[in-house]
Amino acid sequence: MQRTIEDVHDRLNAAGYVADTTLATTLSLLLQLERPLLIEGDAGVGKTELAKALARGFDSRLIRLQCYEGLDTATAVYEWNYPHQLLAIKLHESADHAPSSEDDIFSERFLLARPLLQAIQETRPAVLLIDEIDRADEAFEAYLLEVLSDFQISIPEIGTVKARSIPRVVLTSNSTRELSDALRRRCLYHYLDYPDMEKELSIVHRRVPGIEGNLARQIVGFVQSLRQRELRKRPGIAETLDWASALSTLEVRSLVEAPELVENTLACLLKTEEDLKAYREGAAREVLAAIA
Amino acid sequence: MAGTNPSRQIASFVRHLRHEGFDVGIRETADALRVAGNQNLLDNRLLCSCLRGLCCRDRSDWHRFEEIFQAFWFPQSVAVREDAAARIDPRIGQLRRGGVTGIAGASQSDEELVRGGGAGRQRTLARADFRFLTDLLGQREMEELAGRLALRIRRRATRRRRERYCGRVVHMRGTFRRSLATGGLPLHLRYLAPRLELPRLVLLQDVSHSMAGYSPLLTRFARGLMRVFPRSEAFVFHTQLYRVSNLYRETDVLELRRRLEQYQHLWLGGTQIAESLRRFQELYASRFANRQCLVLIMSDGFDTDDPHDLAKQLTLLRERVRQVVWINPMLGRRDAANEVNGDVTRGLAALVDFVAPGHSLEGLETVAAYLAQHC
Repeated sequence: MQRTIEDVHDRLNAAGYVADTTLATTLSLLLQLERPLLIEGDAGVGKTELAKALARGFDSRLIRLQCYEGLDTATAVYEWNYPHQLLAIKLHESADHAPSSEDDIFSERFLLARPLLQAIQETRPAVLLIDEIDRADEAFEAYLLEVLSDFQISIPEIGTVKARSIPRVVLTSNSTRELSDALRRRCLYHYLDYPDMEKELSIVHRRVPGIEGNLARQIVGFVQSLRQRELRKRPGIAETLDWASALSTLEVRSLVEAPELVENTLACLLKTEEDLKAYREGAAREVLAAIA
Repeated sequence: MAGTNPSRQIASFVRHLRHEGFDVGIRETADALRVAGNQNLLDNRLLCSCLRGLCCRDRSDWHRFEEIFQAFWFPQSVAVREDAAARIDPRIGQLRRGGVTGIAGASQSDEELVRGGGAGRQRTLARADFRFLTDLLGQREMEELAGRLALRIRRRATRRRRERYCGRVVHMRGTFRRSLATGGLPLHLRYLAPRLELPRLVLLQDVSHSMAGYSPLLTRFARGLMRVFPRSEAFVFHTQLYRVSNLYRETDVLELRRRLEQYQHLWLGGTQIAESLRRFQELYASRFANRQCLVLIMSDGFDTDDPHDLAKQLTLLRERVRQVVWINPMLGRRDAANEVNGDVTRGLAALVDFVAPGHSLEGLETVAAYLAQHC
């Protein structure tokens, strides 16, 4: 187990994702127990990125299903290729030999595999990312239960399609609505919080190579301090990285020495007009004074 | 930890988690034993991480887990910390040991209702009057449940569909109805499409002194509603009216508590409901209140303003918006204070569209059901 955790840690590290031991442990459980993993946390803490890093780290195919209200089985699981089926019938008619049975029309040849079906048809375990599951309807969530517990999909015209390999399933949620207990019960759980100073600093160094140590420390200190304040939308890690890249490109050496530039580039961090206005009108300088 | 049979201890810990309200069953026990069999049991940090990922179901479980783990496996170290903390605040010792006790001013039936544990605890909490929960753990748990209850509305509200001319799902009833014109032939199909837009909700929460006992529960419920109805606005009032939409949109509970401490001037004053409603209509109604909007007033109805003023303001408000719902915590009480309040409540019922009790989760459940039906 210890070796698996270290292996997961190293692979994520190699894929550019800085993970702590608790996260590496949960991921090793995912691999060992072959159970789906539900990750919750605020927007921008790296939930989706984790699945991508997992796929990169294990050299697996990443299959992504982005959930939204109204998502149905035709988009998520499979659909019959109706135009091709009609064409096949017409061709058979013109060739004067109609399809021998219904099985010829409802066969895998005319089946369009969508992400869930694709994931269980892979010969090597794929990483299946079911992103923002809280946006999907309750009915779809109920449908997922069969896929996530037995890794099989029932298609009435064909029968049950069993998994060739068990995919590594990662579900993410921003908690915009309550998920069902049945779904939660089938999953391992991890809550991803905003990173602490040291972890975020190491992420910045990893993702923005060449950034000066002092500037990186000031940027992370500024963002960490900002997250403690009253904001409509708190900046996530992606925002920190965008800001660090922008300031690095502008060849800024120290935030304290360039307060105007800080105010002008705040749009990388703050995403609502209300927040931007407040921080451009002086609050940003208070934060700068605090971290100086 | 290594003293007795480790497998038995792990099974016992999973059972303990179940008693603490975690949704864990035989599968979790089996998986925990399987994982434990593959690793060094003496590494408690590793075991804690493994069991945490296996047994937690949501954020509140996640944050509680470590403390429960420490208390189960290393009770002595927890006791030492508890003693140190109890010297600072005597309530902490009681809180850590769990159980809902110390119900000041409650009748015996109320006390019996609130006391409980294990599997029936959630049901018991649903019926408990929030006023009598002096235990911090119980209060937090109830607040958490109130937040979840509000989130459940979204599931119900978005499940309802509207009839449309195009879409993916055929509306059989609508299609049959249209077919009457063509002698029963379904020439014109009708479809069902999801309802995508939720109406705006305006929350007006009374935070005066008389509501102090219910404010934590109602605040949590209000915050849940703010997340369900993204275009909502929230206001609190006593003798003044304050807009708190941004404050209530805070998703992190700990952060919210920190910010609430900075906003102490908003809480605990006298009550001027009519004046507060007048100020709302004067300052904010043109922006936020229209015929698609639902107004939710959370108040016990005790007002130092003239009752005729309140009636007038409510009538004006009702003309402006789609519906006005009044959540009154006094409705669920059977004591002298409520008899006085009874007349007020009866008067209110004629002026608003729906009056619901707001003293317990069960009361809030009726509000949730009403909102899901009318949104």
